[in-house]
Amino acid sequence: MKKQAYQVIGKSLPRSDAYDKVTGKARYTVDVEVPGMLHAKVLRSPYPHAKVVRIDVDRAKSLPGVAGIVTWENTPRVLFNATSTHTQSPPPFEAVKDQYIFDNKVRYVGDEVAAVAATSPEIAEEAIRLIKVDYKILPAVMTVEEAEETSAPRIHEDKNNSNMIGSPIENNMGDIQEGFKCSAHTVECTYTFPVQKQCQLEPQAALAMKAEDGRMMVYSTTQAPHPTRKILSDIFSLPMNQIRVANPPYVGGAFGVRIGFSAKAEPIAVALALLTEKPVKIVYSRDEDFIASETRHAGTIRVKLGFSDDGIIQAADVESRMNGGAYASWSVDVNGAINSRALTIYRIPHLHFHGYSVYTNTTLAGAARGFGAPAPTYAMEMTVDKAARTLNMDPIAFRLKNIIQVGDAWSAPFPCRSTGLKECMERGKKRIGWDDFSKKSYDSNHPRYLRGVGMAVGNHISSAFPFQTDYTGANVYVLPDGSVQVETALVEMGTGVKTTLGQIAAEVLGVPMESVWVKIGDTDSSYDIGGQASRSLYAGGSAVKKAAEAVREQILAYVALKQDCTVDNLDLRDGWIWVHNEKAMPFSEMTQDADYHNVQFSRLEKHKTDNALSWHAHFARIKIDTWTGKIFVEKLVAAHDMGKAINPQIVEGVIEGGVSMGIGYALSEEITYDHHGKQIQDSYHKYMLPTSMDYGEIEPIIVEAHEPSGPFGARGIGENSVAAVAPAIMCAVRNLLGIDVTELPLTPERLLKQIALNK
Amino acid sequence: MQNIEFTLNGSQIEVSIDPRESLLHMLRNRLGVFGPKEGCGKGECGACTVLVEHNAVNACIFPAGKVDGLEVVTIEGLQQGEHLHPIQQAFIDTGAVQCGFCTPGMILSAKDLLDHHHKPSRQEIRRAISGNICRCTGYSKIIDAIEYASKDVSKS
Ligand code: FES
Ligand code: FES
Repeated sequence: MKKQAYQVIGKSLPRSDAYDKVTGKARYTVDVEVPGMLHAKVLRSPYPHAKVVRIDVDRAKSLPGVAGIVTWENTPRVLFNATSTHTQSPPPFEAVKDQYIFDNKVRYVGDEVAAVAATSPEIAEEAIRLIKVDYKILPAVMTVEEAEETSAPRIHEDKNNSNMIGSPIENNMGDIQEGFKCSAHTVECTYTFPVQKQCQLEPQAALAMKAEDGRMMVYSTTQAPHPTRKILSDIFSLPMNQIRVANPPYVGGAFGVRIGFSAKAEPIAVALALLTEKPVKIVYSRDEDFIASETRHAGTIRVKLGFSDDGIIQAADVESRMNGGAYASWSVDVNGAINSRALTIYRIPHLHFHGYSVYTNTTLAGAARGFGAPAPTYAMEMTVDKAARTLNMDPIAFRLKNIIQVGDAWSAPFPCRSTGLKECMERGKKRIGWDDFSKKSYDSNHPRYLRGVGMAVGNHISSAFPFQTDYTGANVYVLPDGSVQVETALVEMGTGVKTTLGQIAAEVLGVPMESVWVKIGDTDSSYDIGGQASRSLYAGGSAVKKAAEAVREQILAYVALKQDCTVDNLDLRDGWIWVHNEKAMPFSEMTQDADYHNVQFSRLEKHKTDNALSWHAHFARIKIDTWTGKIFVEKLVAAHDMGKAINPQIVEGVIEGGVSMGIGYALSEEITYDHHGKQIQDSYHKYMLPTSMDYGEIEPIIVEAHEPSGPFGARGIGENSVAAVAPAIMCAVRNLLGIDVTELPLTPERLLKQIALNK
Repeated sequence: MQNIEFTLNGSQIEVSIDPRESLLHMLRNRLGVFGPKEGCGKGECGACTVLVEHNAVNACIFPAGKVDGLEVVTIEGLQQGEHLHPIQQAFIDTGAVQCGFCTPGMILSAKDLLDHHHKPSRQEIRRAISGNICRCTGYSKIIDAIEYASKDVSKS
């Protein structure tokens, strides 16, 4: 039968969750209420490092309305890592478990000491104030340098005899000494990166209760329901099948902050629900969300690049040191990601990477959109730009000589089967007007303003494989009335997966989108590791496609038998069964008929565990106010190759959101600590998040290099657009002012200082 | 406790409140109106935006007692039966919704703008939503949606 063009794939169909969300009907964890529910609040440490000597809860307990109090003394002493990665680290990766729900030691300002469940949030809050804690204050270390001193206090005494988190990550290819020997030129620089906060709009929250079926039911803001259930099962010694974790069904943004526990909302709610035998809900306030849930890693990266006279990269030596904060979370893995993001863009015959993280008495660092990527992409791209300048070469021409091509040897543990990076560069270059703007220009009316362009490239993964167990099960079944149910545990946290997975099933089964319903975010579905690693569409989509294809085969076989023809003469399209290219009967008539004959069409499938890199090139046109030091991004062209765009409008939206976070990372967002070890930026007001006024237009460009391992040729896109924003902007700054920006964010104060230094 | 009466999404409401509580607290905790969201509780994010007498306010810092005798509209009150308001439809059509947590507030800030200003420029739209934080969309498609809706609203 003739191959038809796609019916739903590649179309910007409206999101299936949009109606709920524009009408206020969409429910999030913070909206879930059940009769008799208690409210919980957490007592947090005011000190960055201290022993908890004594906790006196008597006065709090006797406050009317208080139903239960939990501390380290009455909760399980089971160590865990709150993230999915260390729940299922396949060997040789080793899990680092270093957290209790509560401990008799606190390791950062905000660390959990106790929690109270009461009949109202106000009473719980008051009870918290009545708990008396005696602390023995210990010396604190806030920076990597302090934590690495031999005399530094140990933050986890039982781990090694240093503050190193787990083991360092090493990577070698070729011979690094040899590589620099055959390099006519080298450039080297060290860059410093800030703490960035995910700032998802829905705060961390959970509600735990004994469900009607006798199991422990946990509504949660997690972006990884199954791993969350696994960690709860370990802590509370409950079989996994006796716990259900679900989003209700929406999550108000996540960006990596809850790949596993939502900070500790889930285990605290469960501990209190078990103690009080009542449903318990906990919602973090925004400042708790700031100080006590994971951040992006701060740290430094040194890059040394060797290249020949004709601009061919010969060697790269990269070293990273990250501040992991008080608990491990993703701090081992982050260096793996840094290695991979720095060293898989270009052909580098000789490379070396060494990276590690250390514990400090700051808020724990974890995953943040573009896991591990913004820092190494910045370090590498700034260095590559500098290398091109050393040779007086156009930075785009330099890159084009060196970028990875399909089949090239690289240091990633899976092959490069597709790349549209060259096309991204070429189309982005044209759109930004590279040739017109690449010369330094003064605004003709105001010589105080400078205007120019810069660019940078990057890549990102499409799944967590092989760094973490990575699989997704998807169930597809067709019901007697012809409607289709797709079930996965992937999470709708804004990325559109409820829609795009539906598009995949609709395409394969030839039914309209409206007849497909996608279940999401619930452990009462086949196992899956959650919405992370830009994998939902690539991994989940592959599983859905495979399951839908099997169902399609079942249907075709059934119809062929009925119609007495071969399956080659059949097709499913537009909600009809087609025989010999003619409409034979509506899909729903066929399913009804099958039902009468005891035939059901269904399949559970798992995707083939694999990975692929998506590619991008960003171009920034900026305006610098040399008097105030303010940089305004007038236009940011973001050309992205994510393979087939299943829903181009969703892809564009995701790109734009990531770029916005990247602009914040480059110019304004930063968390610092005061001399008491407390976060200074603990609210939206103090933390400089980009608003709608803070930059000009973002222009996404979609490039579609077919990826053989992805569903309909698709790869991941969720996290890709954060990283290459800062280097694109700072290459423009270098272009205009001749300044090497080695510390982010480039706030107006920092830029003015640099301008003064350069004079 | 104190009794107040006001119009909520077209219906007359009587409710007894604690004089210290916020409009957001009253809507969510006493009246079960969950469309307005709490992103910060301090007037810094706009997720709780509702209309009081056709003006957008941050319900989390607006005293509940002040709506006595006034008209309040939340996201739940925008739709006319089956018909979405043009701004709601525009948010769907242009892809301006991602996680959706900022969406009710964004739409009501947009309504305030378009009720008072028929043909706003993109810059005016940016200013009107500058108190509404969105971490998912980068604002581009939200600005597109409001611009697109302004054509529809001014037609009707
Ligand atoms: S919740 Fe009211 S402004 Fe943030
Ligand atoms: S859509 Fe998620 S914050 Fe705006």
